[in-house]
Amino acid sequence: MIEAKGLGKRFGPRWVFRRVEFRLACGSALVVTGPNGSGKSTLLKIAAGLEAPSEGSVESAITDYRSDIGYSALDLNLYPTLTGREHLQLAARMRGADARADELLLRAGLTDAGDKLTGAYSTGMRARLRLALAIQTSPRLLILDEPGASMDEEGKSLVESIVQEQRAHGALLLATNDAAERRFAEYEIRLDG
Amino acid sequence: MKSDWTAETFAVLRKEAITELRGRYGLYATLLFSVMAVTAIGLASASTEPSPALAAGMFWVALLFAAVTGLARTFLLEEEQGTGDLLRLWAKPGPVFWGKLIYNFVLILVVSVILVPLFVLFVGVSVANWGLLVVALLAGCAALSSGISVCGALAARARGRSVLTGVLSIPVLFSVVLLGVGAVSVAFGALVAGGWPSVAGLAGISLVFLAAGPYLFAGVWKQ
Repeated sequence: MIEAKGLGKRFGPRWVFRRVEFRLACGSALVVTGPNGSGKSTLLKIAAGLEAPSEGSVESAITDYRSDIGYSALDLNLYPTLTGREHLQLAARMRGADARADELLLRAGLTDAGDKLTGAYSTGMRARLRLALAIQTSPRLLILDEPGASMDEEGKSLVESIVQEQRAHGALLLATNDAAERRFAEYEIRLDG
Repeated sequence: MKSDWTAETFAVLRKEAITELRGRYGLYATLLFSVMAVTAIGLASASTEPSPALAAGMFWVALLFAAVTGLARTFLLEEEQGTGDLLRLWAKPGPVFWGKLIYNFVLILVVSVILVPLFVLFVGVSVANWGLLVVALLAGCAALSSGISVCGALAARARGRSVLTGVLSIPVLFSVVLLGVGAVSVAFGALVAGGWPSVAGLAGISLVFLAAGPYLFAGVWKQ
């Protein structure tokens, strides 16, 4: 489904990582670990098409990145003056997908907060909405950057159920240092910075 | 359900309008600046009636600074508030560019529609050719919004984006103001030729940016 060949990224003269290679097929999961600043989030952004690598390439069978890739990360900011429901509706209109707003808000435990502005959401609520947005189109590749961070126990259960569901129909790329989340994947890449 | 260009563009336009009306970041600043500029000009010229050319120049000063205050923001704000990645995940560059550009055009057109009666009322300008004024404003707003939008879009992901937008905008704004003053001064009654040719020039600038803008924006969208 997705294959990284000789990936490298540098900011200025400093290489964050080099020669990263992996292949991820449907039904499989890969976890990226490493200390802070080792480039985990950057690697995931490159896989999601949000950043260009400094060297190497990412090849995939994905034809429409908007509906085939789901992405959730802590630094993915939401529009503070839009509600959770409006985020789901906006994303759906742009992706040409069904918004499934009620269903996804219920799944994320945000039914009561769905019509509130996300500027008033807690960190954990924003993380739940990002997850709902990421799975809106049932993507072939789900990319999660530290999905359990800032989540309560209920939120972590949500992450686990989403991961299990994703493994049934697509691939999962995950960055985390959490021991419980590392168990979601059978393959691991460690970036040492 | 399949997305199409029009629906995606309208979704971006709707998002811009909603976030602006709720956040009121640029709308108030733009309107406040326009009204204050006209008030200051009106007070300064209270004892004398300005010539059509001078009035046209003052009109464009008010419009220009309102545009610079508000228009580039639509692109810059996405990166400043960290929401640019959301759009990059969900949307194609074309609809993002057009949605934001149409929003900018409407915003600056509203400002210019507010400015005209204020100018007539406070500065004592009399409009000699309403037809020319309306077309000149439409063409001028199209040139301003397309030019500044393209500059903002190109600079949005760069470091020092605000400064870069300003620098990129200078040659664009110079041409637009030159032609805009020419057209509006004739509309205000200046006895010189060049009103309609200036409008044609503004339309030409708009067309250049409207034709090149989507391609330039697509080039920097995921860099």
